[in-house]
Amino acid sequence: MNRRVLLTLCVATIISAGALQAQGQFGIHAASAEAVAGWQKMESEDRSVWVNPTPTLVSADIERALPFRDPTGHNSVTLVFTEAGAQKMRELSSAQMNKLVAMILDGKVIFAPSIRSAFPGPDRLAQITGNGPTGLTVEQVQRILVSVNRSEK
Amino acid sequence: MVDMNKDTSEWVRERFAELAPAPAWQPNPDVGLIHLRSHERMVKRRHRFQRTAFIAVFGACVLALAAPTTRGIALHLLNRFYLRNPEAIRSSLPEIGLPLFKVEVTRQATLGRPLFGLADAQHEAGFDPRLPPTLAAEVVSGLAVASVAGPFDVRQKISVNDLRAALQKRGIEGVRVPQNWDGVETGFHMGPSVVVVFLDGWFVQSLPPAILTPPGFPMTDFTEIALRILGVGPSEARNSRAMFVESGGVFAIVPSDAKSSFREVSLKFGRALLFENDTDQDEYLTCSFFCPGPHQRVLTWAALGLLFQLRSGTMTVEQMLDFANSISGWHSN
Repeated sequence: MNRRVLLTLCVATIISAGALQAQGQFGIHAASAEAVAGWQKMESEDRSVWVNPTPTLVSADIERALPFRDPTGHNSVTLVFTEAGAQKMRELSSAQMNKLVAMILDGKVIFAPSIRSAFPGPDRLAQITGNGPTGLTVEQVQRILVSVNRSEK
Repeated sequence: MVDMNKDTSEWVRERFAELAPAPAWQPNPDVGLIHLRSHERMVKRRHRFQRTAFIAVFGACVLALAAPTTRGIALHLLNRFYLRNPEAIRSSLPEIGLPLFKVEVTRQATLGRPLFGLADAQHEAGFDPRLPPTLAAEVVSGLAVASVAGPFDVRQKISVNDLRAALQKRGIEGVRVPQNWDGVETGFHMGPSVVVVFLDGWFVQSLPPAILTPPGFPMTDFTEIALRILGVGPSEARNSRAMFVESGGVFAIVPSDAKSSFREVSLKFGRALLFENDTDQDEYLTCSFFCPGPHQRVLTWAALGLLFQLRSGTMTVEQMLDFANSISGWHSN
């Protein structure tokens, strides 16, 4: 009986860990301010955006993510793309010129800027500042860092 | 010459121009600039280190050589001098416009992959990193990012003509530079550093760097001359030479026109150097790696056989001192 309880607990723990890991996924997706067939409608602050369900970039395309808080208390994350990831981001930003990209964390849009030119440059850097009053929340920062820095490259 | 500040500023503004976010969101180029510069410091640190390492080290590092016993021991140790105590002096070295050394980087420092925990950092760095318990918990939870950088090696050759020219430009007379120093090769070795990036700043620690010289090279004589060239007066140069005979000083050379201030502060385990920059000027590019970026503070100290540096744009002096005093293990020695 005790063994059964132990086994059940182990299975439950494994399932919970898997679910948490799935929740912690970070991705950068093509998005639109207007409805697109097959794209998922999501909320971003005070507006709706339609997001391509397939991410163009995932955590493995990002070499590292670093936290930062500026003197005004705004939190953000700096992304350093891999070479391949930087190329994907340039292609995505070119394809989405004057349209949106959405940064999705835990199934929610945390930042959905419109693209005005292709990036990143040779430095392979980009910054996620978020839309909130203090930029990203500390929890969002942590989730992005864990998702990016602990993913298989 | 490339204006790094201008280029960076333009780059940030261009990036913000590219991003038209949700209506409620207001871009703040200054915030982005500060952030980007912070990150660039990591990427370019090794390049700045190349420029400044030999000013910071050979320009002003002294270790025990004067006492005959110590000198004998040092010679048997292949003249490997460990630098343990951070010091700072102001200098107008750039004004004389001469390189003191011909520097060659023989091993570049690169920032390694993000690590999952302190055990990994210990394994890669080869020493036990010391962190405040709160920061150690953040590394484990993923909110702070630990990596190992380095090691870093530089070799350089002394030019007697350059040293004499520098002394002449300073108007210093009566200082003899032995001709047999010409072409002498010395080295600087910095082992792996553990770098932890957290929301409020950067925390870096490493084993003490070392200077390597040929057996018999009179490092103290050389250091005194280097200090004179850096703008230190004759008696102070001689005193400094003597003062660091037993302590192994690693100097921050602060340009005489730098806006950053520096002072000594007390920690539970001894003294530390605190640099403060209340201006928008990024002196990290023109000063040694001890110096702060815009509106940053840098605290540097030695303890537990390690050199530490804490860099932050948001922490108060009290918070930085509390941080340093809460490092695990200091009370055990």
